[in-house]
Amino acid sequence: MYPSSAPRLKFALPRHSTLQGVCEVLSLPDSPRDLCLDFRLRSSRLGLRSSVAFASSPLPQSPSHGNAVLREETKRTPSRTIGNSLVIGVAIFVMPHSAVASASSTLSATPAVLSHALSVPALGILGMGAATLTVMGLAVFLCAVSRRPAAPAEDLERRVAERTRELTAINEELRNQIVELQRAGEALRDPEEKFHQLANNIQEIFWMVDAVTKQAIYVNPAFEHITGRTIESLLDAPLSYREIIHPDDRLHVLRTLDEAASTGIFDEEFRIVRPDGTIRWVSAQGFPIRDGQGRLYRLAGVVQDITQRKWAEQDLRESHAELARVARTATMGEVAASISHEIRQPLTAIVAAGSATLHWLARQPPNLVEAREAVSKVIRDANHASAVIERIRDLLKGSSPQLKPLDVNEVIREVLVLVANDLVKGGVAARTALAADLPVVLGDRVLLQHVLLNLTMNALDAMSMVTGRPRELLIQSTKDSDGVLIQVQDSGKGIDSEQLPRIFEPFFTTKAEGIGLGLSISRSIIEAFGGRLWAASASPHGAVFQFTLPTGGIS
Amino acid sequence: MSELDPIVFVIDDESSVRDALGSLIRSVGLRCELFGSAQEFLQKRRSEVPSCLILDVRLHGRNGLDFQRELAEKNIHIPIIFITAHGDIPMSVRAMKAGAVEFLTKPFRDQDLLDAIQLALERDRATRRQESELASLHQRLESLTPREREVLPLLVSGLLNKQIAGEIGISIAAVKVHRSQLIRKMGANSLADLVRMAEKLGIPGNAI
Repeated sequence: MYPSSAPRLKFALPRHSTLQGVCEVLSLPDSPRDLCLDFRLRSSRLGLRSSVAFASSPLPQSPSHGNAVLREETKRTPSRTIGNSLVIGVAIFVMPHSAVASASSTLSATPAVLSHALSVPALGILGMGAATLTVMGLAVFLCAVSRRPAAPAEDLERRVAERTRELTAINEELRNQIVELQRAGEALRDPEEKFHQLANNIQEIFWMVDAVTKQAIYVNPAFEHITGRTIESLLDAPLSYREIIHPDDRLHVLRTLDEAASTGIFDEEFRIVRPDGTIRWVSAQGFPIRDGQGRLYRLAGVVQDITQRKWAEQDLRESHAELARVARTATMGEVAASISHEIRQPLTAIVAAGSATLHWLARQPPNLVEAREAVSKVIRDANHASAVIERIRDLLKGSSPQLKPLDVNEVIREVLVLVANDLVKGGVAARTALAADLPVVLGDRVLLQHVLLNLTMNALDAMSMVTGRPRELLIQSTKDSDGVLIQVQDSGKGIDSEQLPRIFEPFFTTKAEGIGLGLSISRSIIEAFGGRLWAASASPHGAVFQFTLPTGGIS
Repeated sequence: MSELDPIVFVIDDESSVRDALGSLIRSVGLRCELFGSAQEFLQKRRSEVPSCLILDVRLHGRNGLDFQRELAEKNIHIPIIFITAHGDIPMSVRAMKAGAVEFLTKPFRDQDLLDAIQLALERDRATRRQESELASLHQRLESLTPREREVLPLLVSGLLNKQIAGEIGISIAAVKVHRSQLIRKMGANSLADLVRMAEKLGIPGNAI
């Protein structure tokens, strides 16, 4: 085993980077005279592998000569040809540390020294390494030397073949190097390449506009797919993207884009119109690009086709609204059926017993016992009917025991989402004027939704026949002296002054298919919250329903 | 009021309605029996007098329309007046198709109910008349001798005496005797009367 401190002398041959030599100390003798070194040459290209072991000859007598040892290896392994040189051996100089300083001249003179010492012309140094044998206080210089072999004439063909092989190998090497270079080049070009791959294949539009002129500077191919227009058409008319935006959304979107030039923020969902007239929903986001001075000079961003999502949302909203409607009518229907059944029974008994009374009295002679009994029944059943009504009232009151703090504006917005489709179908423009500083009121979210839904649907019904003027729904919330005032106003047919006092009565209805409970239940709910609900005619058309909700002592 | 006076049955699970109807029906001189459920009514053995049934559509645990069908299946043919607190048109159509006399929505005018009761009782009387007439015809048919019963279908199918004689293989004189006997026993006034009776009894006039 070599001691771990045994030097490994590595050196590369200057013109043949793939050729490496390693010199290892085989043994560390007591005396430098017996130093035994192993020298190997390895070449990844030529598969050269040679081992030269030798014992050093006498210590250097003088640095100017060293103790060059040269081993002729030519005849044994022809594969050690490197280029057109032939490795003929290794020169090793071993000298005391103290002599190293003056050794450089020796080393530079090595070829000459060796030529001279060995009487061989044209020696060249293929590579050189140096190491210090710290153990022994010696420095070792090592050279691989070569000379052009004396080629016999008959060897010409062999040499041509050899040369060809060599060239092929070099070619191969070059090709490898070219591939490597190409890869290196790709690595350099990568960011641009990656961007193009991304931009050309992504489903979303990448866009860039000038922050000042708002002219389009760049869009990726997804632009053609989503808008149905060519990129060229846009770059020819860099402002034509404005016409792609649906007329109803255009003003708003362009205004936001203008604002984005100062704020740098752009995030909108809007509709676009394709050349064939079809409409698509898109979601666009933008972000600012600043120059070196931090000035915003471009806006860039993405546009995503969200038509599918919008449809899904619409479906969801429709089923939501449908559900709310069904729930509403189901509740009302059940209440109505229950009330009608509960009331009809005692009424039937009252009418029958009352009639019976008349019949008993009409007899000759009148049957007063039976008549008295029948009248008692009338009174008993009338009391029963009254108890039924009381029970229903309790039931309605009992349905709102959970009074919790509510944000009225939030409930209004929720209801507008629920009726969004009815508004569209009814051609009604909804407007809200919601005060921002509303106090929190006490109520039940679902029941309040119910009331607002009821008033809104009534408003839509009232406007369904309106022609010749806009159908407008206005929902307002304002701060009241002790809570919140909510107004639901329509531009519908209005309420007859004769009917006005009666509209909150149960079972009073002006609708063909109505059962006349909506407003009466709504009023019960608002009163259960401690508020009031009333109606008035609006000017110049329509009706306005208003209700208050007190804060209930909370601030 | 006697045992032969008509009787009105009321089935309604609402006692106040039931009692009031009872008073109303009795006040116009009709007999009345009240039941809180269909089951109570079925357990009661009804007397053989003209009667009708006032039936609430919604009874505890069962539907009045289903009960109507059940009665028909049990071969109990009693005219039914439906009353309901929440009737609808399909329901009333179904009830009327199944033979109901009237379908009244609560609360109803007393006269509407009393008129319906009169109609129902009249219908039941007619049915009963037909039934008793048929029963008496069957009784008379039973009193005929085998030979007379042999002659009857041939006679009502319009054959002459000599044809009947040839058919059965007896003398014309014997046919004449059987003929006068069976007309007398059946209580028919004429041959035409006999043909009508035979028809009610399901005796085919063209048996040959």
